[in-house]
Amino acid sequence: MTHITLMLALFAVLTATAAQAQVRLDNTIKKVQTFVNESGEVQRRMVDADSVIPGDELQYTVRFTNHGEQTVDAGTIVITDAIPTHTEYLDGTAFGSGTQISFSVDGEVFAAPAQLLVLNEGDEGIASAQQYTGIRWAFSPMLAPGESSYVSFNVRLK
Amino acid sequence: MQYFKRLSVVVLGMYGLTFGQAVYALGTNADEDVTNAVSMTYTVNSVIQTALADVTFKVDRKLQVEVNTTQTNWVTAIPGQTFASGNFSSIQFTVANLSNDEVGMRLALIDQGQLAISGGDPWDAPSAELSAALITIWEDTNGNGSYDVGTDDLLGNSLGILPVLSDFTFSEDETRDYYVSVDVAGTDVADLFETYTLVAAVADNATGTAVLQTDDSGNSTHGVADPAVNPNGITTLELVFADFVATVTVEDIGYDYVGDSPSAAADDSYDGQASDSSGFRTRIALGIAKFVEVLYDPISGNRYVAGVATNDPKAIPGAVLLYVIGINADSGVAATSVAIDDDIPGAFVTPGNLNAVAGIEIPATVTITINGGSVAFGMAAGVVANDQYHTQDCVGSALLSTDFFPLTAPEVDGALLGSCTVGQTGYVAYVVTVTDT
Repeated sequence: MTHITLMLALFAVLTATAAQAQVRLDNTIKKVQTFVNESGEVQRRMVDADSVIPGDELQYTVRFTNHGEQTVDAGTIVITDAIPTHTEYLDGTAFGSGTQISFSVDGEVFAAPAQLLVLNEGDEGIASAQQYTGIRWAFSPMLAPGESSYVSFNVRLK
Repeated sequence: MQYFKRLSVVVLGMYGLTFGQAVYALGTNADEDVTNAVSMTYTVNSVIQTALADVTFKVDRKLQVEVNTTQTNWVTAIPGQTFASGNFSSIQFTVANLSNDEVGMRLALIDQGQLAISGGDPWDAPSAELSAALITIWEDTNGNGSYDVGTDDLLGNSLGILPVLSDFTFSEDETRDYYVSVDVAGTDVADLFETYTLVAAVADNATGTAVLQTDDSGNSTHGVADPAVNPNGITTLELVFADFVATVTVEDIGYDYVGDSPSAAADDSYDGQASDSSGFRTRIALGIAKFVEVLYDPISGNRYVAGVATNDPKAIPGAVLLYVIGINADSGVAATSVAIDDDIPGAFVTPGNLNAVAGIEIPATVTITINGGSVAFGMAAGVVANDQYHTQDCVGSALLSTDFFPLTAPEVDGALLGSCTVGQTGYVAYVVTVTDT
């Protein structure tokens, strides 16, 4: 009886160790600001999103870091981000090194842009970027302890 | 890989008419919290794990008012026109709240003298001001473009700077039309000018009509030092002046709220204010209208007889018609060198009483409606001369006379001698025969 109890306890400890959350997400937002430099050129810069009004462009960056002691299996990291309400995704801004990016128009099925069809006023067509409701990044490499990477995308506040 | 195989199917979403149509003029409401929720799944030693992270920001209060006028040139003002008489011209402004919230608004109408306006001809600064006796501003509450006593909101009636101190609260995306009229001295001559600027400033809702002088982004109104940027965090509501002036023109110089009073300053971007200008130019006004009467028709042989309606000659081929082009002076200042030109439609009529029909009578008086009023013209003797037109100088002018000239196609060029001043009338008259082919 004692032997069985010890075995169950050891199994529980091993399971808990393997399932322990070790990758942390850091979700941050910046405002994209245009300005004219000393040469008269219009440039863009990131500023804190303290002041955000309709029409502003925003950039979300999601950094993920392995704070654990074990390597995250290659090809298993999948990040899913719902386009925030009151914003619309800006075409071509989704980024993620080592990732395959797909989009959704219903928050459930994710696919390449050319495969996302919608009905607009009764006519079937490829969804525009403004119609996306979600983005998904599939990260291919493994993530060793201490390593981190990030994905990002831009939206405009309606 | 199995994951992506599953995603290779085509998905079909249903979207209504409005999906994906960004309407920034409407804009996300101020004080709205926008949250981005991200999730992650991964495996460690084949054990699936998850992670979540949210970030939320608050939509700040975008404060943007806009003032525009639809006039692309000077609006004609007639010397002697008054608001009280109901016979006046007006300039129009539209004030719009493009903020993402309800805002208080303060308005001021500023007399700019003969300041040039964008699109106004002449382009350069006009030479002299008209003599404004009174300025009146009202809101066209029923949107019909005219002033309706008891319906439209009369906002002010004075001279010079006219601060409109009513407590205006504009809802999000609301627009209102305002009109301005000016009473002009009856002695004014032509080509005098007066420009008016309507400036709208965002006011603090809490205090009703106090102009907001600073925002939280380092912007301020004129006469107020730019405040420090107030980075109060992404979850705190800020005030943000969002008005933008692409190019400051001469129109933008010389008006703005400074503090809580309209004063001399330039309208600029991000000051919580907006403005536009429009103006009046005096013209000496003559009303003009054309009249026609059938004098004879060759089928029935009926002729016009004053007071005998049953005769009723018809405008058929071979009929003789009387044309009268009458003018009526509206201005207290005399109009001189009055010329009346009229094209004769040669394809349809032949100048004069072509067949010399005898016994044709003409009306002793012709009444023509000009600018909504009935004006009677006494026909001079000899008006039916077969091949002549005649001009009648303005009745009451020192050179009153009736002159006859040869009538030939394609046009009548009638020059009235002397001058025409308020209430005086003159005309050109001639007869034609409807072509019988």
